[in-house]
Amino acid sequence: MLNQLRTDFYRLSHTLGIYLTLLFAIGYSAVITSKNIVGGIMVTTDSMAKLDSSKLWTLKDGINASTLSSSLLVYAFIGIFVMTVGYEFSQKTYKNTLVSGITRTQFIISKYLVMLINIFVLSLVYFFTSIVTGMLLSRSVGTSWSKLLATVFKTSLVIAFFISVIFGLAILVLLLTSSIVTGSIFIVICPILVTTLHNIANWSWLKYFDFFSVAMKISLGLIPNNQLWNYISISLLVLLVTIVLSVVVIRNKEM
Amino acid sequence: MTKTILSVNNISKSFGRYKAIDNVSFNLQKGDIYGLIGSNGAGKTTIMRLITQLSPLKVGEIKLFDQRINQQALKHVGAVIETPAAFGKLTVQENLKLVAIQRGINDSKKITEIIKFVGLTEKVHTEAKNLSLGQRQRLGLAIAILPEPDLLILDEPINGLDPSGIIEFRKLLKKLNQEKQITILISSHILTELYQVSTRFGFIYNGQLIKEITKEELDKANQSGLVLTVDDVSKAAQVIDQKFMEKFTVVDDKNILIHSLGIDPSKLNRELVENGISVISLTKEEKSLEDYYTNLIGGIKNA
Repeated sequence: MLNQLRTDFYRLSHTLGIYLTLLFAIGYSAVITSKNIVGGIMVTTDSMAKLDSSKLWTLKDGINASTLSSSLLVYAFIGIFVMTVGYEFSQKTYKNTLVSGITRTQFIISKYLVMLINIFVLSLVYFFTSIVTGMLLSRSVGTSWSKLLATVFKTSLVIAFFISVIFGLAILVLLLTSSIVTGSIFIVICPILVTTLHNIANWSWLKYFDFFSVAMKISLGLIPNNQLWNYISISLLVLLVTIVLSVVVIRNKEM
Repeated sequence: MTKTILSVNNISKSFGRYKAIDNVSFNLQKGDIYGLIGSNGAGKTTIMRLITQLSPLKVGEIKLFDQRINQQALKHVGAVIETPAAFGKLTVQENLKLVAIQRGINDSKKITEIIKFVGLTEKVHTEAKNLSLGQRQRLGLAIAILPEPDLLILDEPINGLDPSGIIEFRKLLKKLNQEKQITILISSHILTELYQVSTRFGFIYNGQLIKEITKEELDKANQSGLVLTVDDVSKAAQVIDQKFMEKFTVVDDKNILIHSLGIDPSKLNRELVENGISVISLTKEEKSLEDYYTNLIGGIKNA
């Protein structure tokens, strides 16, 4: 499986799309921090309250603004899904991969890990860009450096994990429908649909499946500690079930 | 002693009510170039997909190197199923580097060697999407043979190749078989080509393996070879036996059929004349694989 991970990283490093995604992450973060604005979608009023745009921003405020704006990242990172999993199917190179001695389980897990690691690294770059931009504008840290760096690391990890759950589900959708387009559309629609249903239908249990909002709320400390593990364990369970189902589907699929 | 590389036992495959493969069994011995022959939709590709596990096997058993086929065993297999697959935006070299990493091959010289072997040296930095069909077939072959497989599975590898490409591909396969001792399972509906490269044939019709035959048996059945008409068949038979060691059949008191087209007719003629035998005629008797296939399928349809 390690070889498959190395293979995918080699391939991605030779793909223009990954560098464009990186540029977007850097540019987006730099604009948010330098212009004192908050972008993205699904920004709730309680999360906005965390930020006072009238005061002079510190580096910590920049990170908070980047976190609030990170909802857009899930869409920017669709490219990672397409490049990591989609290309294998659109160019039918999965035939070479699956005859290379890798098991179906290893195939699914390695694809998931490649996406997770990529999203994590890009998120780190996204937040570090905010710090660098703030430093270039001679802003104060707003907290201790260790706390700031710990926040960046934790937020990147949380965002990467919850986005990867959505991408994991998209792998299953792709395998079930044999369509990269459907898989990609799922990534676009899933967060919007869950948030909309949550707001309209008032199904409180849906909050556990509103993966991206959860990521932001956790990062901004808006979820009480006693509920935190409910969110994380449900997401882990969804991810596990998704991976198991994906393996079952790919084992029984005419490839 | 022959070593069985691949053993396919009583495999069947259905898609809904349609039975694509019906109780097929065959073996591949080390060094074989086994040609799977059948019309479109006969089941050739499905058999190959079942062997490579791209299609899940529910009925029957496939053994590779004496163990039930699994992902571990597939490490010894190289395959080009349906169309050669490569990442379009990666160059020839990058695509092979990718396979090298995937298969744990660290020797970068090997990539250069394989590129040279398949004749893509001039296209090493060309993106796969810009290769011609023939060049893509070569790249597909390079990807398949880079890990030095013991078994190579090629599904219609000469589709779309021009005549010179077909000749070169044939040479490549023979080279692989003879120099690298790779056992090959190949399918094609270009029967003249399959005849040129294969050592054994399996005929698939409506999902069933209706006949297996060696090239030698095929030539014999086709009565292919040299037909020699002489004044003394017993003396001529002695000379052929001693000097040429080719298999032959005494047809009647005037004619001998030598079951090989590889023998040099002028040399044969000279030897016979030097031994006091009058050669009345020496003709090539050549029926094709197509003739055999047509008769075989025709016989089944009429049965």
